[in-house]
Amino acid sequence: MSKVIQSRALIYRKFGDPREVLGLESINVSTEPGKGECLVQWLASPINPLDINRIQGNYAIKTEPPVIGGSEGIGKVVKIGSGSRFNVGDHVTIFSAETPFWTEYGIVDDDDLVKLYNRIPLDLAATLMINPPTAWIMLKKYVELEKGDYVIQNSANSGVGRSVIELCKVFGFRSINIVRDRKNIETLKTDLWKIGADHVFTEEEFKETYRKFLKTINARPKLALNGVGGKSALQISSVLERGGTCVTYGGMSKKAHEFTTSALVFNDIQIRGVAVGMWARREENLDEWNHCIDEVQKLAVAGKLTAIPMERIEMSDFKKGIERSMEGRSIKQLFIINSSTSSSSHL
Amino acid sequence: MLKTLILRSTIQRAASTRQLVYEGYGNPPEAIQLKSVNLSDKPSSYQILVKWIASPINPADLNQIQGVYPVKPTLPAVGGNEGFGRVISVGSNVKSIKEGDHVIPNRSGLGTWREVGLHSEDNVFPIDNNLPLEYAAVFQVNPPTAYRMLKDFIDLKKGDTIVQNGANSAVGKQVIQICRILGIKSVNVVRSRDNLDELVKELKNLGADHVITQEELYARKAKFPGVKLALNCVGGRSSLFLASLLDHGGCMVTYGGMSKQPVDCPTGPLIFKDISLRGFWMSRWYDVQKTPEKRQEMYKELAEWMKSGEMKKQSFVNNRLEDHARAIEDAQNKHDKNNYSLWIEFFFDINSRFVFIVCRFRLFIVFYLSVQLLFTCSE
Repeated sequence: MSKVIQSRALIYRKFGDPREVLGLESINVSTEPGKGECLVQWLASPINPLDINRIQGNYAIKTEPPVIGGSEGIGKVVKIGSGSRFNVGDHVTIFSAETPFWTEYGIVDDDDLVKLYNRIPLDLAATLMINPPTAWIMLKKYVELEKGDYVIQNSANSGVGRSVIELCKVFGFRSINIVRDRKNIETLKTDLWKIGADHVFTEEEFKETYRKFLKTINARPKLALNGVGGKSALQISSVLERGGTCVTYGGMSKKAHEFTTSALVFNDIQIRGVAVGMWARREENLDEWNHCIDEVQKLAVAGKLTAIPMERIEMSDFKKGIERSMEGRSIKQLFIINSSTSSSSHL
Repeated sequence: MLKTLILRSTIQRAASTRQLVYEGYGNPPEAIQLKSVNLSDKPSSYQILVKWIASPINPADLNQIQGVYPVKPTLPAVGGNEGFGRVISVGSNVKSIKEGDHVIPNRSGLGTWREVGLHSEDNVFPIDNNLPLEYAAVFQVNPPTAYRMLKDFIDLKKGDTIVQNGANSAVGKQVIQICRILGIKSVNVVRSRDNLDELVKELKNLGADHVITQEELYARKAKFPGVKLALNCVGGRSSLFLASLLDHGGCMVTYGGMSKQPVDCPTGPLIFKDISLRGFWMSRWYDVQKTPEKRQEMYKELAEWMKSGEMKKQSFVNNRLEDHARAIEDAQNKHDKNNYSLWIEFFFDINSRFVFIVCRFRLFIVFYLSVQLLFTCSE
């Protein structure tokens, strides 16, 4: 008879408003992982905008409820099944369309698990599989950039935006960063300069000064990265060099992306889009993806990629966390599911 | 030897020829003037002498005179970017072109609204001499635009489906016909209007598989699976819905912006269907060709379709050269009123005494230049 352990988990049993449909439940998890499986103790997982969309049923890939929430995170292998390629104590994450992170324990197939370096700080490890790879792919796979080339992006303060800034610094590209105006804008600018931003503007500042600014740089940007949409997409794509590319990875403004006819027709710009999950699952990208994950981890260990500011919360405080995530402007919420030092000897 | 040269140069005659010139940017009907200039009747060694026969008035020509078009010739300049002419004589070192050849400008900015022009060999490009005037005068921009957009962005196969808005534009009609010829299904979006049935019939006669109104497009009633390519000359909401019709990996090519709204695209298809947005500009395509082969190959195929009647002729309005102010104003008014910005083709026709010209489409205005120039060819 296989042994089971009680595990607290955040589950939604139907699509709807996350504040209403998400609930904390206790589930049974087997403590006997099967062949090629691991028992994973989950340590931390953020609340991403993606999670909210998924619970609302608004995400492109729908998994029918009941579903355990979460889209990325970090766990620790506490028990391995026969033939598993992992060791007890390994830090791991999941990269698949079904990602049940918001539970204390779970049995996970080896094939879905990715090993993470144990030296990566918890906050960063919990948010390493979506934002930094998105930034990496956008900077590497669409335009051949050389050292000193300019990249322009909106939403520069988002998770992806910060990864873009840090990776630009690593690759020797220069970043022009557009953010929305806010109360503490000078603090934010300093914050982005600290992680390596070359130029930071609010949307309004850029609108007023871009002509003057473009004259001060030797060449226009070849790549624009768009996580916002609406007029903001138009703003960053219109200053591209002839033949430049604008890559869209999100639509935070919930407005259609706008591009000028003349930029497309006369300036020959290209508009592309990327979703890291789909990109990584394409057969032809497999090697590149593994390389990307490896590089990103090395940079994380070296301190060249850092965690975005997050607020740590307990799973039992999930209502507060969800509420804050849906407010939009507040800091990202990170569930601390198990303290990494907690003992698992009772298994 | 020297004596002979002097003698030769003194016997070179200068003939008077008329051309439509603008000396500064401005409102086209006022900026354009009909001027007589003297022109040597003997081309220098690398030059050719071209008698221009027909030339359209395109929106791009008007924008150029207004100073708002990306191609800006040195002023004063002769108007017109498109048209065709016959080679009267060639200089001693000209290799690729011979007397009697029909030619079109090699690229934008040549100035085709003139009776006769001296041009360097590489400023013109030969076309099929047997192509009737109605095709030759408008051979350079619209048919190749339709052709390239269907060939260069997505590898279309027989039975594939494309969608386009502004389907009754000049380019749109070329797209419909080329699709029919290549066995590609076309879904055509037009704006609703009083004589819609007539328009639908006309487009279906050209080979349109489906014709829907913009409103029907917005209502998402009609489903067209497997759309690989969308051609957009409208922008705004129309482009948003066009992009939404695209299948995985599809491409929307913009070549005009009739609504004067930005090109709109929803997030979902861009990110999850990996669609891409591109732009197409015929002038740039010509500019980046390093060798003539691709252009020759395209011209050959298009000319065959035209000569066989698979692609229909366009009809013109006949105007005289001295009526240029009124004709340009008419063209411009229609252009503004209809909110067209990039794609409307207006045609100039020069030297076409033998061609029967019918007034059928409101949008096309042709200058009929009755050329009475007494011109003596040197031997």
